[in-house]
Amino acid sequence: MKITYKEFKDQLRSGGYSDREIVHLFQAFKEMDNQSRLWVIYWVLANRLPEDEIQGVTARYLIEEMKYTPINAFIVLDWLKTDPQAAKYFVLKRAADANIGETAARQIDEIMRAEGVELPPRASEPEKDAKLDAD
Amino acid sequence: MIIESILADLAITAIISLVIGAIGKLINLWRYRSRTMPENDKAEMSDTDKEKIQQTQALIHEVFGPDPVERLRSSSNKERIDLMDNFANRLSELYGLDIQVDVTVDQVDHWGGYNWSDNKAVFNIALLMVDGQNEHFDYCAWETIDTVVHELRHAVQYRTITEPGFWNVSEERRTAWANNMRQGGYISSATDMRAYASQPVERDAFTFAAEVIEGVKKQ
Repeated sequence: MKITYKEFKDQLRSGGYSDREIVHLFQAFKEMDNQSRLWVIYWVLANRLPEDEIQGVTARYLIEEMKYTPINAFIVLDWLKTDPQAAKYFVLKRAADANIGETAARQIDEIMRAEGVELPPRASEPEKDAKLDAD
Repeated sequence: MIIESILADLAITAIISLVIGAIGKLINLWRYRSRTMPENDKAEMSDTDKEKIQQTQALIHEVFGPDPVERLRSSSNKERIDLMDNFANRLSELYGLDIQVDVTVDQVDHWGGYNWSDNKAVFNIALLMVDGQNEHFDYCAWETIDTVVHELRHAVQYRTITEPGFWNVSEERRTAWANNMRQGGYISSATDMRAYASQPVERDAFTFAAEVIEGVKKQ
């Protein structure tokens, strides 16, 4: 089974993800194992959630009880397979995103440019027909 | 006005109960109480960091006494707010930060944090408004203290970027933090939880707070 980058992007855009986030997530999913990629493909194509239980939790539990997005739930389930100790530790932390704001972001950029440190290259957008596949 | 306030309090209590209920199942399932931050995921702490970690542990001891969980458990909600407010403000002073620090309990959609542009830290300690007899009260207490340390570490990171040499942070680390916070460099926890936890500013803040809390628990 496979989906194209365009199908992936259309689905995530409707969920409010930015272009930069979509590029990041497509690459993140490409690096996951076959089972995890299959979860994403079924979700993109049929809005279907897996019933698989990893370390005692399902995607549905993470989405409905822990308020994760489906995409983030798949990431956490995959993390629970590859590094359960770390995944459990961070899921139980109270995540609070750093609130950078426009002013500080611009200030930091100006400081670094003045010091001759250019903005690191960001991942480029895949071709529309780039594939995410799984057996 | 009074009725609105009571209804708001009840709503927060109800939502906090749901949050604790959902996370409580995972705490029991994964046996949270014996868990420490995995060594492989920790960032390196400098000598200055280690010194500040010890000073933070001493401050926790001074503010909360030898057993912070029991101190908070046996306090009223108002006393808990006062304790956390005192701790957050004194920690900000200890870290040499010239920032505004506020403690609130009236938000349920965000746990608060440090705003890099406003140079202000707001800590939402609604998690501490649970009954002291709640089976997960120890989790609530430690996580609330951890969050204050974590967020003020972000304030140290910002000060380091704008003022090289602050806390003797190496240029390599300072650049990594700065690049992480430049346009398009930061990954939110809602986008990718795994990438969020491993990016430079978060990995460092998680490590710093974990070292503080793990040390206090051992004492």
